[in-house]
Amino acid sequence: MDVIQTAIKGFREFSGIYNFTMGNAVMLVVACVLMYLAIAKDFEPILLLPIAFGCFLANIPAARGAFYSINPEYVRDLTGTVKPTALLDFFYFLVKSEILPPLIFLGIGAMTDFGPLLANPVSLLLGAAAQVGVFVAMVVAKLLHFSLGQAAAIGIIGGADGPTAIYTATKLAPELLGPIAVAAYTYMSLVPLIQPPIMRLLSTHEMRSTVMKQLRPVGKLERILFPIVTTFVIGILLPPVAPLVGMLMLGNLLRESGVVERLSNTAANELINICTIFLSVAVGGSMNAESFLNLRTLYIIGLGVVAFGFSTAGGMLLGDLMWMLSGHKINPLIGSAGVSAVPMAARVSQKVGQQDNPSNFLLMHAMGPNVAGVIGTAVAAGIMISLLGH
Amino acid sequence: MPDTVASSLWLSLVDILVVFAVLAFLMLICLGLRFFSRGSRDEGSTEDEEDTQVDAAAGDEPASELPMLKSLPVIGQDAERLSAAPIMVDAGRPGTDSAFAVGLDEADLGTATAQSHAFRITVNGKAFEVGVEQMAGASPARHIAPAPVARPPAAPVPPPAMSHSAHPTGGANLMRSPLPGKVLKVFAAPGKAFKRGDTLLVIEAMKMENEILAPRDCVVDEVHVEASQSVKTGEPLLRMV
Repeated sequence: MDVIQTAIKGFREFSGIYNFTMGNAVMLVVACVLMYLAIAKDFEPILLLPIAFGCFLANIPAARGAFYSINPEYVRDLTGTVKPTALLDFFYFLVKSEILPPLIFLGIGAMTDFGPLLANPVSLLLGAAAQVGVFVAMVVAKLLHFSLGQAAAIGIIGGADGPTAIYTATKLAPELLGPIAVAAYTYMSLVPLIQPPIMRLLSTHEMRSTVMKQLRPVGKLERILFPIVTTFVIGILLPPVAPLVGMLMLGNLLRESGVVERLSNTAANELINICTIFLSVAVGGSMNAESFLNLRTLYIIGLGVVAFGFSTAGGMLLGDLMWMLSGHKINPLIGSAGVSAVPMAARVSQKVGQQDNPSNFLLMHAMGPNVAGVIGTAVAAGIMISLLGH
Repeated sequence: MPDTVASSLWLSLVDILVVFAVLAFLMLICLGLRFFSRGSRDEGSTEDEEDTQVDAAAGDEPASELPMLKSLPVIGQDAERLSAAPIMVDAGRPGTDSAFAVGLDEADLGTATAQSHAFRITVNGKAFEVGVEQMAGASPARHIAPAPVARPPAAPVPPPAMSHSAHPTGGANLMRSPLPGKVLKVFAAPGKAFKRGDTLLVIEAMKMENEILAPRDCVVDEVHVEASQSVKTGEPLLRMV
């Protein structure tokens, strides 16, 4: 009899059932909802599916013991000596040690066509205007008693750039990495829902129907010089984001040079996919009940919407101004694409524009502010890190 | 920096100003790059000159050669007569060794072979006489006139570039691709009628399916693209009757 009791007790302690909490149950449901959204509703499945599964795994107590030991204490330990012990810890270590975000930027660079930006350089200003949400969210976060570093990291969600948000969070507020990454990636997939009402509110039918002049073709020399010059300028002005911008521009140079197609293909396909798997599983894994289910997370999720909304509005308002100044030649809808969710935001501009004028094609025009937004978010993050980082 | 709301406001203000300053600086650099690259030959930067009419044929290559055409003197007593007519350049047939034809219209379309070295070409109402010489080892695309010859023979023959003044309806009937991408579906077929707003083609760009809609009630005359073909901005898609 004793033997059986001991066996049951041992099994209870060994298995996850004994440690299962209500929080775990809630998070498992959240994970299932996210998986449903990814698979059935096609909400950015490339990111959301591995995030959701990582979250699922992290909330099975026994599995967490075997695979995963990230907790707030562990995160703090990382600033000192680190000994990753479980599988997901290694993934997380790659995120924390700033290896993955720059590599993902390398891939993004290899996929990005800066042609629309070079053809219409005024896009860069729209990309800057659409960072307004970063600063609004930061001030609001400070009012909600986050520390200055945390507020800055939360604000960067408004840039709508996942890798930059994660990079900033690891530098300024590693303890908030999970919620920030989740908020950033969730809202990126919700861009088609969040943006259109704001875009319609801040423009008239006449503005939205504006047909823009076809973009001029951009020569090869310009395309090759742009990444080199930009790397130099950003690197010398804002050293903290030199790794991010440098990798972005290297990827783009590989693409535009035309002589290293193999490297550029690898960066744009296999490499970025591998990095995305590690990054998203690690981010999902940081969503365990103990560190995720609290008021702070709710604040961050809420602030994410504020940041996104204000960024969209900022881009739209400058777009409106440009529409007036240009003599009704620039469609303000491309301004909202200044949030850097590439290419989702540009697609939204296209769709909203086509509703008002079916034969209008804004997609390529919107790509200019869209890629400018990536640079804008990186610059904003660089200033935050250089002023607040230790 | 003290951890207060005031410093977050201050920080925001500084940050947004610096972001604008840096991106405005990059904007100047972009403008500078454009200016800098204007002189280089393979740029195609003259394509934003709006009076260029021969841009219909096929993207960048022929248009980038326009400056050379323009720099040639106008000669020939037929210049007046020629100026009324659009340019007609036939891409030739496969197997005829770079043969192509130059003429005013179908009636007096003369055929020239690679043996004849002088051609008269009308661009934007001006007649040019151009010489063609065979360069040893050079790619055919380097020649001035036979740009169409450089295209693979299997490709659909591009329509003759129409001068808008001579054929007022020519531009309106020709539908060009508004964006670069890949043709996914082609609903249009020669002789098929469409109502305004009907989908003619679907072009995929940025992982997004873009429907090309009929601008008016129309009957399709000819279709220049087929499914899974890549198109550039401005490439002719189809012609309506």
